Amino acid sequence: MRITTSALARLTRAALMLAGALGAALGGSTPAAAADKAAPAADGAGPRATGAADAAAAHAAAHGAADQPAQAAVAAAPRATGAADAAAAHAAAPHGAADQPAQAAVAAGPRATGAKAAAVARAAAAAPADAPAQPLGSLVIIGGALRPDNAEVWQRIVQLAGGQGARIAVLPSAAADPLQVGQVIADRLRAYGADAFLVPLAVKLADHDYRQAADDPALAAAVRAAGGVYFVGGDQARITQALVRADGSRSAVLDAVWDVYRQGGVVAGTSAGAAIMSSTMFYAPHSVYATLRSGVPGLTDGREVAPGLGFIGDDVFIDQHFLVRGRFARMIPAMLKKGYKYGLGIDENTAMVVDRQRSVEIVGHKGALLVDLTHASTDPHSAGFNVANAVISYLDRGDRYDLASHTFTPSAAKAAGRLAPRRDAADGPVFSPDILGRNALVELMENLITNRRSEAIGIATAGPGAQLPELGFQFTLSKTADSVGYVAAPASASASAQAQAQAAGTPGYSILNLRLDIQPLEASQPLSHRQ
Amino acid sequence: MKFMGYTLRRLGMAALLVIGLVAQASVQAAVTTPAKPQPAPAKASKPAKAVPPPKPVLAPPAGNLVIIGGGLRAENAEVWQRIVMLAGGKGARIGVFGSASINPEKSAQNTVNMLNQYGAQAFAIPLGVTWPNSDYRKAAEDPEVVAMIHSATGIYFAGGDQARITKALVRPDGSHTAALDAVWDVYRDGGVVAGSSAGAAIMSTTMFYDAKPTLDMLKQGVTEGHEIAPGLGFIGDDVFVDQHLLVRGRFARMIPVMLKKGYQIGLGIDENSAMVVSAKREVEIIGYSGALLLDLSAAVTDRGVKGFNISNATISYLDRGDKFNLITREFTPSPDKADNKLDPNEPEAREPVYTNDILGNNAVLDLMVNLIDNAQQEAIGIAFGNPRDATPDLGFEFRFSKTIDSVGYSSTAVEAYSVLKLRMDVRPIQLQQPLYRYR
Repeated sequence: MRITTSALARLTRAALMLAGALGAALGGSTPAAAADKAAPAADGAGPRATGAADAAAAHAAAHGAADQPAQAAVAAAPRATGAADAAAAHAAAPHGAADQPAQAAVAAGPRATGAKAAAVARAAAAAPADAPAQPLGSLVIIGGALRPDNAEVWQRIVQLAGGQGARIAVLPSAAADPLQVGQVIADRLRAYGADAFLVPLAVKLADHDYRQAADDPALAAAVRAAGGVYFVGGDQARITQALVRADGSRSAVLDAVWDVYRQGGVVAGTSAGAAIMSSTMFYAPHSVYATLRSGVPGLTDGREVAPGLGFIGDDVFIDQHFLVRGRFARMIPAMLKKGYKYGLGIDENTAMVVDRQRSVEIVGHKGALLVDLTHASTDPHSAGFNVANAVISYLDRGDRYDLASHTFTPSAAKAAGRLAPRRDAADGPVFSPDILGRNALVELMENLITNRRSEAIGIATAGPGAQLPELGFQFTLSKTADSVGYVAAPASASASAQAQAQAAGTPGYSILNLRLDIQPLEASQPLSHRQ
Repeated sequence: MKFMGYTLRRLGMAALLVIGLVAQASVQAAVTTPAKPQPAPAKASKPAKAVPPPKPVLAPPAGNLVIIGGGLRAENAEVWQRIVMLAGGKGARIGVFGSASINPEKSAQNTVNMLNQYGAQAFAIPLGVTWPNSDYRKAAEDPEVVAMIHSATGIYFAGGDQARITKALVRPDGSHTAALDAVWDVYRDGGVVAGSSAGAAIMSTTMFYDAKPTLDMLKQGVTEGHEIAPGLGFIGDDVFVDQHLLVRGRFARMIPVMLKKGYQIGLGIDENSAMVVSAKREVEIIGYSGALLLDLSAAVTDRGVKGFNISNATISYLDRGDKFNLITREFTPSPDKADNKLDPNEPEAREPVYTNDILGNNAVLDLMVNLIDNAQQEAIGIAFGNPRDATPDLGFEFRFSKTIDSVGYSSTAVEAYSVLKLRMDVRPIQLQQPLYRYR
């Protein structure tokens, strides 16, 4: 009974996706119209699905992955639904073109310019671009260094995977020591109530052919059966190597991860596991400063950047370990290179939870930086990397940002705390000698939004003895009519009372829509000498 | 019964104190000489001015301190629970001073609610310079307020401005108010005295008072009664305490104060973290981050150099879980680091370690960690101000170097390090003017 119900739901979704993709490909169809068309298809496929499910279940039982008896039992039911899915897909699209509905949707998406489409085609694993195929699941994108005691984030993952006892597949593919790291993470998820299990799929796993594992039906079925998937940290290049076939198509396990996500499960990842969430990721990048110095021409597809797995869709670039490492400065060249308008960088021990409506909620220790390049421009004649009119926002824990409508909602604690201009505010110059330093950008944003001045300056220079020590960059932040700050203390409180509220441990500021301009500078050499 | 036991305990304490005072007079000359000249002992005598912590000669306080670096989050169970535990555990009575706040009643109530969530029976102590409808001088001598404090086994000083705490609790002539004596009684009796931010600043005999930004204090120095003033001194007079440390680059501002007031040891605790100081003066770091330890016992300054300078200071980073004994000055790494001493022959990195902003958020810690696990023997961080400041060309160079005593530990459980005994030298530098121009 349960199988049938869930198979039906799945069929409806699969049909919706197909209809959406086909509709988009035909050009005229709105998502609503696609949904209408999809409904009868799902109905028609209903009876068939049960049969397919039964057959699949029988097959699973007979196949009997003997080395994993426990898993086989659990996997049987969901594997059946997976088969139902395949049957539905087949039924609805007899020509088999629907194998890769995601790609069709991507190609038809509004952002698919020629070059972009080619890149996406190479990625193959890229996310569906538009609403018709919007997955029903959630993403938990963690900025790395997630502490064992960060209950808010761990509990959220377990809850989104189905709550107490939820099956969560731990993919240790990024780790240098996959078994050990995977086991630690699985144990932690268990400590928070999940029924987590390790998926032995990693380039670094000894005595093991990762290509075979990636297309092992039993492994794929076990993943598909889970309510959640967790990608551990390490090197993101190892994740895509393990999960994407050499020809760029998805392995069976990656398809299963997508199924979990589409069907309403959670896909979580930390550090490298967060990097793969966007359709482009940093692959083998140079340091933040070196990336800034070489700018857009210094980024080559397949070297510094490469295709990610793209769960969040192809309109948002994701980066991690963000504020502590000054990585906004490398994100902007990457976004310009690949044509992204929106970028989200998540800080350590903090997560972005992206729900099915594409609303992003910040949970955990700190926050995320939002970069909006919608109106940004660069001057090709400038002597180095530059950008004008970028817009940055700091989203603090508890805040929400809607990727569909691009609207911001402050946390409940800050809802009444919109900052108003005040005469007792500081009015000294706002400056940072090392804007790439730990959290330096957010501090500069805080200092500016609480200051009477309208502009703040941060600089970044190379250390003595570095290559090109005289080349540096100036980052200018300025307030515009759209700039807003929120603080948890009542906005009516005095500036010192607000500072006290900060000291007392209430959440920090949220700061929206500061303009950011970056231009190259020539630093005096040497910068200083002893007196 | 409980009341009887309590009274007996207090009587015992009083007797000890009397013995202590008598004994103290006779042995004063023989007492181990601390780094800094002593004010007269507390209680009976009235010192001419300021800072009257009783000397821990025969009766060191039996209690504990929990010194929190500010920004203590509601979910930091480790720190909140420790306070409650040290106050006697579930149901412990903890008196909360909101005195540092402009709104002391509300501030105290917020902390009371937090402590009660963690199992205490906390209550606000109605004493603060700006407490509504109250004369704080009367309240500080009010027997009812004193009885309230005496009824507690724990005291908590909430954050704000430390100057308001000392104003409310110390008489204009520098002697203890009855309320402050009662807090000392709780501490001596074995209770806990906790404080966050401003409530941490008052823990040492000297505290920052009307402090300027760190860089300005390096440039212009510190003056008694302006940048610094007497604190309440619970930790004793041989250790200087500062807070909000790593996130605000404050390690540097501790040095001029320590030099001026003769402290050898300085402890700066980071936000959302705490130092627990036991009766045996063992310091344990708990919470989110850690503490910086400055040791100036071998440091010298060169009067020939124009501007603030110091050489041969020693700086260490004590991470959460680590312990440091203030008497023996011995360090004990947390269990997850104990077997993971960094091998200097297998450094993780080789690149030069440098920062343009050593006063930046966590910059000193990042630099120390990068250096200790690096083939380089030395790292440099500089500090300078806005090019539009009054003295834009004056900056400081902080040079960190390894000695034979330098040690690093890394955690096997999380990404965390302890870094011990790096040498630090600071001297003024001249910045190029202009610092830069557009390309």
